[in-house]
Amino acid sequence: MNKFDKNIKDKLKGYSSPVNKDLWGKISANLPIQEQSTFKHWWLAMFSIAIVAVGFAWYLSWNHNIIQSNILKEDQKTADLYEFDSPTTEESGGVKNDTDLELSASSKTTIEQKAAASNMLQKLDLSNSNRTKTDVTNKSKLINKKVSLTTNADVFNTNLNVIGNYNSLDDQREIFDLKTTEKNVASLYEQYNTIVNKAKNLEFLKNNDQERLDLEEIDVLTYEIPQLNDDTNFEELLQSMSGKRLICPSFSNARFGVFIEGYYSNEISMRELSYNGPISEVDYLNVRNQTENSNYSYSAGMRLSFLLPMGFGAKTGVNYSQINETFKYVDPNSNRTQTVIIKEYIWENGVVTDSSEMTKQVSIPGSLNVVSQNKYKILDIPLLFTYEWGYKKRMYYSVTAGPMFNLKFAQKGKFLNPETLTPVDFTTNTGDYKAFNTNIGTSIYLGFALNYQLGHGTDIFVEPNLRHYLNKTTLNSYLLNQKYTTIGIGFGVKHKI
Amino acid sequence: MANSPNLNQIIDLCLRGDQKAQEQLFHTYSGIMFSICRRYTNNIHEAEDMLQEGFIRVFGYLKTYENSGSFNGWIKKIFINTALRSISKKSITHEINGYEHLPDEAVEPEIISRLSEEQLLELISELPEGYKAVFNLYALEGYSHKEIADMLGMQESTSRSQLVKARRMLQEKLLNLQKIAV
Repeated sequence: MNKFDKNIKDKLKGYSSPVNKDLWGKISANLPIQEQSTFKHWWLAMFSIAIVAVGFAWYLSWNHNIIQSNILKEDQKTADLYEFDSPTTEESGGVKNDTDLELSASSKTTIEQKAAASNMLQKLDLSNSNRTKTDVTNKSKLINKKVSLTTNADVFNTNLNVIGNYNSLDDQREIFDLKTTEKNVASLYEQYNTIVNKAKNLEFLKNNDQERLDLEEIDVLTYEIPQLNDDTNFEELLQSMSGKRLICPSFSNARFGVFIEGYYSNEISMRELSYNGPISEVDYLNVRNQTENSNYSYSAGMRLSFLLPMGFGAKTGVNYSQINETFKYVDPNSNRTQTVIIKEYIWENGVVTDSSEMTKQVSIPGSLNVVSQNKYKILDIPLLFTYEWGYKKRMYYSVTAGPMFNLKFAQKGKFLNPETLTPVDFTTNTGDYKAFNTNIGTSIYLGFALNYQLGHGTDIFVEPNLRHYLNKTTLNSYLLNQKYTTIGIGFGVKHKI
Repeated sequence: MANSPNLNQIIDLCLRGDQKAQEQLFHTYSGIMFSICRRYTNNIHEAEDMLQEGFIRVFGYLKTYENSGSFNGWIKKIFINTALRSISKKSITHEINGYEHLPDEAVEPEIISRLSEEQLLELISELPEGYKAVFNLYALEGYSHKEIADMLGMQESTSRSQLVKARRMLQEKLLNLQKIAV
């Protein structure tokens, strides 16, 4: 730079030319309206769902433990709860006080009790059809003692009045109507013991005080018997009641076999662009990064899972992934060509004597917004290995990893032509902007899942996952290397077949 | 050079689509950028079009701006690129003969200082497209001949010769102005 240049530079340094005040209006009218990023909202929603799902699963697991601990506590109280007041001499008017009947429910833990109860109830005609409310007050004095039955202080606290309190019996029936879960296994068995004890006591009274007790009138005892049918696994129930740990009979940890699973994964893609040779003059890589942005992507598929007893297994199936990107390009120097017809008239004395017509192509300068939703479609066959562990009630973890082999890669959309830097459609993948492979080889999948057993062989799972494509999606002849890594959150269901 | 906190705040708001912030950014930089546009164009209308186009690009590419560099430098570069894009679409007359005979340094600094900035911009804008571009890029923006050659797609030697011719043409214009004034 010589002195002349410097003088001019100094003169113009920091100079601010006055600007037409209307210019901002024109500029603001041409600015694109700021779009709300639906993409970010999608991910927020997905993460929220995942957090809720994990929270719900944790809650179920936690609730399960609370119920178990309550049952264990109640188990220790059983003896106190089931003290049945045997008729005293005073109350029974001469009935023998010493009875060889055992009235503690806790000691009645054999299957014979079931049979004894059945027989006894048959004798006493304690059937559902006979349930009527009768006035047995006078004769019930002998056995008008309350059996306080409290199976779970948090859930219910019911006083079972053997003779007169009909409503209490209804309450009990409601309890029996509850699903047979570990929560009411305890109450079920307690009810059974209560009936057995009462029946034995009644037999005792029948044998010793026939005049004071008309068994035919003690219909009030005829309430519904819990479903103690032949299928009821009493041994299991008793084990549950007596052991330190409750073994829930409905859910099994023996998870081997073949499962079919379906999933949908919400993903975000991370693109890696690098030069496949020397850097171009116009920095084409930078141009592409500026004009293309990652968008919401997804994967979906079906897998067959072959699970071995030790928790190891393999999975295969079909996976479809779609990586989405948005291409936006504003060409400020775009020209719109219009055809103009120019007619010329020759006038002579106010009359048109001749005319000529001329067609002209005119170019109108302006800007052109080019927007394209680019899609990269990937069809794969996964060959994954899995390991399941940490069974805790209905919850367990699993890790799945392995290669996914590409069957087909296809693309749809636009990018800037590396030669002309103008938007071109690369869907057909032809011409001087031929860029993409039709098969992109192998990718590596890694997923960590939190699973929840719904029962009946069906599980649901949430699987955060990472997938790295080992090979580039582009041809060797193309200026750039284009590779992907995706992270996502998958939601799925699997069923044992 | 780091940006002021106020400028960073304006940039953030612009990125969120805040129109008031965009207007504020426009008013902050429009004058300086307009003087750049004036230097690369032949008349005020062309310069206004270029300013408009440049600001649309600035707001369009704002998300690509990284806070690591000076915003002034970044926005200036956008306007220079906008100007060069405009020039490249026109036919640049690379060679005009007849100015080589003028001696260098023929113009006294006082002549330049007596001129207003607007007059000087007017003189520069009257230069032929190719000369104007090379002179602006070399003398006022500080690019090397190699960089100018890359940007304009010409030989380095062409850039050098055009600079010399641009200088001499400008000097002649200044001398003519001096003669008229006398």
